[in-house]
This record gives sequence, structure tokens and C-alpha cells, in this order.
Amino acid sequence: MIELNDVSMTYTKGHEALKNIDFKIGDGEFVFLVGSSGAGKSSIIKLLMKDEVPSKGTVFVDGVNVAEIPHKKVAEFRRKVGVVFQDFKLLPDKTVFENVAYALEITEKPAKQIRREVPKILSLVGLSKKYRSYPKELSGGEQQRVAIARALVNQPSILIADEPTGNLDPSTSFEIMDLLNDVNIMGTTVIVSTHEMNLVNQMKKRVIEINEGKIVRDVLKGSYSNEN
Amino acid sequence: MKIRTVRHLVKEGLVNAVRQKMMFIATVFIVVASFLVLGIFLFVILNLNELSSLVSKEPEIKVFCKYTLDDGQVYDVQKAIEKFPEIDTVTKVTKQEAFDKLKNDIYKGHAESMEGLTADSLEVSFIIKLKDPSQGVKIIPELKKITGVNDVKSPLDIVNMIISAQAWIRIVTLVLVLILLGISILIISNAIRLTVHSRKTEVKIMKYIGGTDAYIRLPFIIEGMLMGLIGSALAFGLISLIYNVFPASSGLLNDGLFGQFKLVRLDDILQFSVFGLFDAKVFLWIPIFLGFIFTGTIMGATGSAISIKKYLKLK
Repeated sequence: MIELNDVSMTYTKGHEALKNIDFKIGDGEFVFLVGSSGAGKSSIIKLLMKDEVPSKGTVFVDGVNVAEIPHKKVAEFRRKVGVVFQDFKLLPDKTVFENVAYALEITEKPAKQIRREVPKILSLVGLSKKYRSYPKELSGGEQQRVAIARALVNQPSILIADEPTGNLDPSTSFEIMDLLNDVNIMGTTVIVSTHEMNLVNQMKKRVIEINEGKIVRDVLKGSYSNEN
Repeated sequence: MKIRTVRHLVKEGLVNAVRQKMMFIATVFIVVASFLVLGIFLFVILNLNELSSLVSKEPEIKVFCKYTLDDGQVYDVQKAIEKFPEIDTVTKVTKQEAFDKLKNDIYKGHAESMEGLTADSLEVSFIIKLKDPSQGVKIIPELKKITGVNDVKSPLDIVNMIISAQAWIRIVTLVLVLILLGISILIISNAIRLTVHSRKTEVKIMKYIGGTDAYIRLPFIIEGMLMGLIGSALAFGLISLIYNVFPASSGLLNDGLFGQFKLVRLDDILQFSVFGLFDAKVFLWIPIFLGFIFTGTIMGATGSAISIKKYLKLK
């Protein structure tokens, strides 16, 4: 369960990114955060992974007030929330296998378990054969699959994807969306921020639209904009 | 953190060092440079200490008689010297012996410089050893007063100067060494900061996917320690090479200065007592080498820890 109560956020430069945001996302939901660039989508995601703290209001993730998580516990918290980024954020010096394994290593899982879990998750994202490749040897879509595998390998209850298809061509974007949908069907709450109309319209999921830091629309089985 | 994890992270640090070899080598060179300066300074201090302790241990005083003295008068001078109870031995150096020494040692191969010089134009001298070296300062003015004595020469003159300045020398060297150490830590941490900076995205990713500070930090610290260790060991090798091979110092190492003071040698034996239980003997280079690599490793670790701190901060 994710809950934002009257959240406002101002960056240090004085720019007010979010104004009085209120919404709840239940367990197992699939939600699109839509809006133009700079609308405030990324700010919400930063709040959900404690990369930023609200200047007003509260953010609850899995029953925990994110602002109150002490520095030492942030690492543990982030393992419960898998995050996927537009630029994939893979470790360039590590292979596909090592990138995914890294997420398990930081939780001090035994090597045996890592050797068992990583191939499973790589097969789920369809990259079994590329486990030895380095990120630069992969296509954009493949890199994003690795990032999704890494985000999922710790079995988080929530998966957040910030513009996951922003760097991908349309057909690859649909494949990635299908994969995220599969993840959601398996029980993970999925939040996707995007400004790609076609994807949103085809998926028919809950849509929260942000404009200039405010929620302007929140509809179930919605489309990208009111006109559709 | 589990031992298994620490082992894994140490390996990770080593792998990182190999993957980022150019950065690694550059930093190692900076460490070598810092330690070269530190090391050269250390050897200067070691020798200064040796100089003052050695000469004050066994000071040799030379008393020169006037040219004009005949054998009887020289004998009187010798008797007068021997009267001092502080004196242990008195050895006479005749005019001929002094001439031979000049010819065979000092002007060897430069016979032309000795043209016109005869044994007669030299002075008879006495070499005096004291029972208690600390009496030297007191006795020299007394020796000068003896009739027929032209001059009294002693390394104690230089040594006295050094001893009286020693407290100052120690303070100044300590301060300089501290400043140098501080500068070295700054340089090293700056070099490591470049390494860390070039990998700040990596650190950020590690943070995003839930790496703890300790987990992220350890491989960098291992890498820093390795840089410090290799850099300081290389610097030690270079310094010992320069110290042993450099011609000016090799002369001093083997023959000494005025036949008295020799430079400290790396293979000198250092004797010390271990908790008063037994005496241990080691070559001088061993504690210096250990000191070098220990300081280097600690400096590398500190430099890394300082550099990475900034990137681990959260809002």
C-alpha cells in the first residue's frame, strides 16, 4: 500500500515541484503516472524511494512513513521497492549476471542461492542466453530487461519504473510494458511513469495525471488524456 | 557484515583496481611521489640523529703543537695532557706520520699539490680519547691553555652545535614531517576522490538498489589501501636504491666523514628488547619498510573513506 497525504515538495532552488498531492495505491495495482516533462512525475518517484523528502505532508510505503526512515535503514527499505530507470542504470563493468547478482549480494545472500535465483529471473525477462554479456553489448530493450530483472530479483512488493521506455523504440516499448504487466499479474504493485500515449491507451490501467505539480485526473482503466 | 561478504568485497576491490588500471596507476604514482619526499626526509633525520649520538659517544680530540717545538717541548706537552684525569688514552702523531698520512691518504694521486711540503713543515699532534665523552666540552678550553699548544680540534665543536640545536632540529623536523604527512593525505585522498568521482554513477546505482554504506565503501577502501601499499613499497624501493647507489652517499656509507661519521646503513643491525624479556635484532630496513607500508596503507584507506563519504550522503 502506498499513500501520499497532502504532499508538497520544494527543491532547494525554490522550485515547487509538487503541490498538495493526495492518492492511495493498493497492493497489486498497476498505475500509470502521466504528464508532460517537468510535471512532477519523477518527483513523486523520488519521494517513493526516499531520494527526496516532502517539504509538507506524509508519504507511506508499505505502512512506513518514508521521511522517518533513518539513514541506516534506507538501504533495507530500498530493497523492498524495486526501481527501474529510463537510462537503465546498469553497472557498466559488470556482466548481465553480475548486475542482477549484485542486488542479491548486497542482501548477503549465499553464493549458492545467487547462482540459483539469477538464472531464474533472467529466464523470466528472456535473457538467459546473454548472462555473460556486458551492458554495452546489449540493445536498449535488453538493457532495460536486465534492469527489471535486477529490480525484481529481491522479490519486492512494489516495482517503480521511471520512464522505462523513454529510450526505446515503440515495439520494444510494448514488449517492456508486457513484461511489467506479467510482473503485476504475479502480484507485484507496479507504478510506471511515462508520457507515451500509445502505451497507456493500450494497457487500460489506472491513470494518475499530473500537471504543474498537481493531480488533475485519477481514473481506473483510463487513457493518456481526457480526449481519448 | 558476514565474513563471506567481507571476503567477497575484498575480491571486488581487487577486481575494481584491475578494471580501473589507469586511474589506479596514476594514484599509485602520486603515493610514490609523496612517500619519496617523506622518505628522503626520514633518512636526513636518521643520519642527523646518528651523527649527534655517534660523535658524542666517541669523540676524538686532536691537539696540535706549535711547529717550533723541539722534542723535549713536545714531551712536556704530552705530560701536561696526560695529567688530566678525564683522559683515557693519548696517541702521538709525529711530523713524519702526519706527512705520510697526507701523502698516502689525503693527497694520494695528487703529488703535485704536496710540492715543497716536507715533514718539518707539519705539526706534531696528539689524538686524545676521553673516559667520559660528556667531559669533552669542559676539557677542550683547558687543553688550549697548555704552553706549546697551537690548536685543539674536535668534532665536538660541530657536535656541540648540533646537540645544542638538537631540540630545535627535532621540533622542526617533527613539524615538517607532520605537515608533509598531512599534505600527502590530502594529495592521496584527492587522487582517490578522482577515482571515486569517475565512478559516482556506480555508487549512486548501488545506493538505489539498496547497498548499505559499509557495503559500498569497503571495495573502495580496499582499493585505496592497495594503492597506498603498492605506492609506499615502491617509494621505499626507490629510496633505498638512490641511497645505496648515489655516489656521494656511497662514499659516506663506506668510508665515513673525517674517518669518524658514517651514514646509517639500511643493513645496520638494530637491537632492542622485547618487553624486557629478550633482545631482538633486526636489520634497520625492516622497521622502516614496515613503517612505510603501514602508513601507506592507512593513508590509502583514510583517503578513500574521506573521498567516498560525500557520495554516500542522502537527503
